[in-house]
Amino acid sequence: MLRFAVWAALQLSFMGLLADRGSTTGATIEGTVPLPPSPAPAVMAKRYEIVSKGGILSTIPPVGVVWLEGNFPEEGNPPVLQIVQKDFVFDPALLPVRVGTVIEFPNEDDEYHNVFSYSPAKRFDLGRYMPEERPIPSQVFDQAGMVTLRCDIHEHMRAIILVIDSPYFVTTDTRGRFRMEELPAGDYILKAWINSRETLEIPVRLESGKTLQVTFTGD
Amino acid sequence: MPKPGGNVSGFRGRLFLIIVLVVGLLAIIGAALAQRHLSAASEEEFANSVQQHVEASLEAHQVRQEMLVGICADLARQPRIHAALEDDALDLLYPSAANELSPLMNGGQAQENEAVIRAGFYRFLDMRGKVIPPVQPRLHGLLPAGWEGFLELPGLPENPQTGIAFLPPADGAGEVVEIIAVPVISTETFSPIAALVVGFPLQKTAAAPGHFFGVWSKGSSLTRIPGNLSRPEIENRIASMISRGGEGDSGILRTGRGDFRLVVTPLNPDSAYPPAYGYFLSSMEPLQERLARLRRQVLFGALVVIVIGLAAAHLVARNMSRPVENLALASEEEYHQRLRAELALDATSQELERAARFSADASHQLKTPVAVMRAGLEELAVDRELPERLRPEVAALIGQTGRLTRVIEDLLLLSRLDAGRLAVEMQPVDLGLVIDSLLDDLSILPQNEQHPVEVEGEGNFWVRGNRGYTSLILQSLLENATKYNRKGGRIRISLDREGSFVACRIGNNGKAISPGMQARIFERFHRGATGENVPGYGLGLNLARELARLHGGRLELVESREDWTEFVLLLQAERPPEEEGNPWT
Repeated sequence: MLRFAVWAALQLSFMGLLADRGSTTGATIEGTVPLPPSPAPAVMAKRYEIVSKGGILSTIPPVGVVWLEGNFPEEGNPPVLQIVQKDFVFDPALLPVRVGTVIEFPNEDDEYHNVFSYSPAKRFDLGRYMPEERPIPSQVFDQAGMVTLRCDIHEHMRAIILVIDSPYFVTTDTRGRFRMEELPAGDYILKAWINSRETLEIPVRLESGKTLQVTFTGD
Repeated sequence: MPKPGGNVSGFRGRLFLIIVLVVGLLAIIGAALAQRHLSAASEEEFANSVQQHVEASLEAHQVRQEMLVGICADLARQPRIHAALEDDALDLLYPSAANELSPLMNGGQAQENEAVIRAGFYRFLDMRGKVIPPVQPRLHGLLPAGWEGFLELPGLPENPQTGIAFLPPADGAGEVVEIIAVPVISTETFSPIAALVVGFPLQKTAAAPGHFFGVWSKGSSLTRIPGNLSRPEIENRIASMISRGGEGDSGILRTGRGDFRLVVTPLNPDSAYPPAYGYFLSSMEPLQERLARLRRQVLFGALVVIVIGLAAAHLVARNMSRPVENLALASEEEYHQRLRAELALDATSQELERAARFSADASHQLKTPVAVMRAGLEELAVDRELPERLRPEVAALIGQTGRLTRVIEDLLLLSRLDAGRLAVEMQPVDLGLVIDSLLDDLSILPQNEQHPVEVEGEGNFWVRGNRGYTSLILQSLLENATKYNRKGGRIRISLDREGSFVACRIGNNGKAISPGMQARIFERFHRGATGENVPGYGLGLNLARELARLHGGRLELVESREDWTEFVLLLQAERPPEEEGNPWT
């Protein structure tokens, strides 16, 4: 299983390199989104837990997702990603993906899990399965929106998949800072997902070779 | 005199009766006390058994209710239900619930040794407490139109709520259902976002015979009324018991169909649903039968006690009355003896009276001829023509008629004494004076030789008596002393006081009276053996003694030895009459 993760990470970095090399006229956006302060000291493992507070799902420690919304041409099949069920939590707990992405849900606990979602963006129910299940149960997420993952057996398990109709998205660090490079010039709307109830947006005009500073502010 | 023997059986009967009454009374009191004690104990036992039954039933109901609440709370935590409610997928709510609740609806939750738990229907309530209508009600338990309103609550509850309602017939017969409403607590906000309401048919409590369990809510019994009992009667009674605010209240319901112990107890206290009460009817027939049996037993026991008491009373009465009976028997014998004695006495006294009357009559009849004879002789004695040689003869005859007259008078006096007819007028008599006058008379008696007389005693000797009779007694004694004296012998008279008596002793120098004779000298017509030539007729001493007794005194022979015989006359002393004076002095 570790193999898959490494593979995915390599692929991501490879794509980044390709993009870097392919376009020298790309614009850059960097800035911050308003996140609540991290309650815990610096986390070594980059691993989030979906928590709900006042009916709002977010991650602990808090991170946001920023993406550029607009009409972008299809870019072939997006890579296959994974959300692992291990130690009775989903990992990662928050995963932004591009529309059309296939996500596999490997079970790495020695227990049954049953991943399902009633979210309007994607309703599915993988049924109960053990780690030995082959092929690894997966779903294609072909509609933009927020999908809440649950396990029918373990009521505390939650994960959020943000299905984004854009190839340009990034996860902020726990202080809300983000940076996106090699973006096409033009007028777009920059969106920032803070939690399940709050998504901020700002119209932006990107110019090639320039870096745009954006600071999202909460209401 | 009452006859004693007749009351002995009466005594035994009375004794027997009293013992029987006491034993009977004790038996009755004992029986009454035992009956009361045992009745109270039985009633308490019955009440306890009913209470135990009620508590057991309630506990069973509570355990079941808690289990149902637990099952429902588990269901309300199911992720799919949460997903449907939280992830904006209400359309999936009932289908998901159908998945989750299908085992419960089909009774599949039952495990070994467990009663089948089967839900009849379920619904969800929204944030306002209103029923979220299912798309396909048939999948979630059909409810009659409009009845869903019963499931609704004023708002979402924080805690499980229970209620009991009568579900009218939709498909089949109506039934009483137990309703459990559990909140669906959001895993995001931790506050209720919906409520799951599940209806379970009310479990039929396995009632023991004679016991009935029912449910009452909103003024009427939701369950069937047992037997032929009147519904309004029971419902009104329960309503009144509840309005009194009695929790776990109990009372006795008397109906035309028998008496019942009624226990009412709340089934869903503090619930948002209308309050429902369980009521337990326990027929008091077993208790009443038992009490009747008890009464019979106690009665029988009392009867046995009374019978034993009768026997014991009989024995005791017999034993106790035996000495009394013996006594009575003895007294009866005594009575008869006395009766005989009295009869004999009566006969004797009649005989005596007859004899006395005869003596009196005879004396009376004799007196006249003797007087006539004496008059004739006296006339003859003074007749000049009577030859001189006959004169002493006539004089002797006259003397004899005098003696005859005295004998007759003595006999008459004695017969009066014997018949108790002699009324004596008592007065103070100077005994000394009587003696003096007697001595005077004695000295002029011509025919007797003279005996010197000594009189001793100083002072007055007054006695209570009749002068004539006292004189008669002393005359008798003096004549006696004269008659039986030896030739030239002396007579001594002494007067003395002896206590309240005056003792007059008269002694003479006569021959000794033999001891055998001494006892007989006072008998009538007895004369001293020595004196055939002694004049007298043997009445003197007897008459003297009778007269002494009449005076309340006595006459006794003091001593009789050679040449001295002495009598004593004791008469009651009397004070001399001072006012009247003594005509003799």
